[in-house]
Amino acid sequence: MVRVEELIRYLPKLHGEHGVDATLHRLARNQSRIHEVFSNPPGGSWTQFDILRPSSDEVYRWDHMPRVPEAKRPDLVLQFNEGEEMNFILIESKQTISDIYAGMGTSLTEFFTGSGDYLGLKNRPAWHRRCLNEERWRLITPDDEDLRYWFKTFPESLVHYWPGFTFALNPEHIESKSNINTETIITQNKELMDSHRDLHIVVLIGWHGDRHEPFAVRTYSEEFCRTSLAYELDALLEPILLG
Amino acid sequence: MSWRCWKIAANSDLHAVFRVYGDNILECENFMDWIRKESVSLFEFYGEYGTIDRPIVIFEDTASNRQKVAFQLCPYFGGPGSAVLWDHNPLKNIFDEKIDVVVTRVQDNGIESAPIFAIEFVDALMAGNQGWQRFRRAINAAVAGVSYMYVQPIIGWERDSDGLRLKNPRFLPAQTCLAQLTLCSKFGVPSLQIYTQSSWSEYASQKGYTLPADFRSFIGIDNAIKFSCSLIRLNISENAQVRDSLKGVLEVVISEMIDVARTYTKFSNSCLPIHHNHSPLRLQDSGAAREYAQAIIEHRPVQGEYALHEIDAEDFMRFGTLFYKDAQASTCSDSFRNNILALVNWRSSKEAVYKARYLQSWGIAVNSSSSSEELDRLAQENRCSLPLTYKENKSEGCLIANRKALRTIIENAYPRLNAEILDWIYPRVNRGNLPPIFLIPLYGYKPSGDSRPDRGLIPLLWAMFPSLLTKEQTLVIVYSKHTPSNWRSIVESEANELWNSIARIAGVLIVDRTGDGVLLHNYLPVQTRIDNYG
Repeated sequence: MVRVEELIRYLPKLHGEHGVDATLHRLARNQSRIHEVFSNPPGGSWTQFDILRPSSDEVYRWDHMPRVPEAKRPDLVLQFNEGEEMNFILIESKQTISDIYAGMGTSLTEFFTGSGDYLGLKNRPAWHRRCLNEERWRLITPDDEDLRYWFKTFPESLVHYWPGFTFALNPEHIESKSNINTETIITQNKELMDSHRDLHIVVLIGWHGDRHEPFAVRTYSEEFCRTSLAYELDALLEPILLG
Repeated sequence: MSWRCWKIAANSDLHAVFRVYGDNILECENFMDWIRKESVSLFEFYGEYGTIDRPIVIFEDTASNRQKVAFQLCPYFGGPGSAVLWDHNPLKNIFDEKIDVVVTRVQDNGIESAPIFAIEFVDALMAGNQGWQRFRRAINAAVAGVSYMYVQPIIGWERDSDGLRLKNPRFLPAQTCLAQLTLCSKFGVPSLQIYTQSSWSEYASQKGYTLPADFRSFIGIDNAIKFSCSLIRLNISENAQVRDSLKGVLEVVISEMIDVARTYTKFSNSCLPIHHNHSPLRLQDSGAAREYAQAIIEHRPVQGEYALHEIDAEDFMRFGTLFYKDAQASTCSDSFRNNILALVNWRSSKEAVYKARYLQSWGIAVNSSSSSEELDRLAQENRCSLPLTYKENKSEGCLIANRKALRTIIENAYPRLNAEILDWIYPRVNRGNLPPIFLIPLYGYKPSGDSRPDRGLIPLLWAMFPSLLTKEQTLVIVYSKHTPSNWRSIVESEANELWNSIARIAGVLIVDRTGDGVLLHNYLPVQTRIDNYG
């Protein structure tokens, strides 16, 4: 017989960017208030974006959304609809804080809105749809223009993008939870946000203890803090949230 | 599910534990979603333990006294580059490259087993030869005796670059399907393709595009679930009922693969006459799927008329077609086009002068006044003396019985080649009864570096024709203008997978750019690798 406690001691040598993505993706998967549109941890090349249409029980799929030089395809996209309003959290994740670059938030948003010759997801047609309570996807035929382009014609004023940056603590593992200096991390996150005004969300992920349990420390912009999505995101992060 | 489920029940006893190594967390979850489909897997979810980013998922086996079976997710097992993030490396000595999912067993003594099965998930069918590039993984698995599933949609569709308009459908490639069936045939190891329904299937059917006749009744993922769960249960304990069930599932999967192979071997773009005329594909309801399933259960090669791995020179002589390799002028030297390709490539649309030179180089007497049509007839009458291939239209390799003529062609094209290589092609003395040569003109290098699809081509051809692509018979000519001039040191370093794939299978390599070559008999051949795996 193998016991659970023996398994838990089996640890990866490094968590890194994948650990950040895996933690956030698994948190998203284990709740139902916020919808995960897209997740692409390192080692994969997924291209499908599944978006909930407001005031409907349907999800629409944009497949074959490649990386493009004109904009940054997010590593994680989360969606929260309030009535007719659509909110998207667009996350770029990296191994360390120093991987941040100028214009990250703008570039993430442009993956949806377009830039230069790149049309942006919003201006491209959805190709498939399904009811939330069904497994089977149905094709939207090319002649069904209204349905294919519902997002393109959706009022701009009702779509909100919240770009964010997540990264791993460096060094990523802390022996004891009591050694985590949350205040210092929050200060560092705020400084980061002050120097990158196009970002609204900064989340640090680290691992603590002999079981390497993940923890998160988050900082939001004042504008984002005023939204109900901020509460929803806190609820998503709650199982591992510090501070 | 409450987050508290992630807290640890450290004293839980587990009847069996498996590790699910995934290229990342999503691949691990893809597999766990199979197990979670209780109506098919017969595993009932019990709980999740450990940390959220790499949980241990525990099920009760409703088919076996509700014994607790755990799956520990180990995502991103390959790590960045060649790094390995977990103490146990399930790829070691088996896989040349990372694979989406590999499942192992943690035995009661804590030691981890060799892989039990491996899975490759493909979201969208790849275009053309892109589909070849992952093929080495299928071979790696088969030679090591590891069950392998390649999961892909039954049809895809290409869009324009902005994603606004549909272009052409992407059909399942017959060659990779045949190659996996042949691996099953040769090794008695499951190398399976699993076909998923997509919303494109019905649309393609409405538009009249070619699909397997019974595509709507394909079982697809549920087959894969039953197959993996049977392997898991058999790994825990031998059970005649589970083994019977495994055989039944294998029969269904193989019959779906045969249906796909039958459909796309007589398809306009990829007509494969040798395979299409071979017993498993020629005969509807032939019993081939049953024989393949039985062979796999007994872990032995398929025997008799259904044995795809025994396709030989005689099959090429009966059903092969005249070879044509499409190599664009910008990719290769004029010398290669004029002195090699023009003498192995047959095209009925070419003018009489071209055809006469081609035929004469293979020792066929040509009347100088013959018309182009007469030369066509002459070529067909003498086809067994000419380079023959397995595919109509463009092809990748050919079988050449006339080794003497081939020597002359190669000697003229590459005057600096050493005698050892020329004698390998056709010795001056002690010739005996020489088997035909399998010639593969390989592009190999784009301006930006080695071609990823080409890394998989030779392994793919080896899997399709293992009786012919032997060290004694396989000749590769790398013809790209962009081939690095220090290719010899790259081969010797064994650090590049394109050259490794050549060195492991071919007996001789010639590089057009430098006009020389090398005998490869000192390199570890595929058969030795198989022996090493035991």
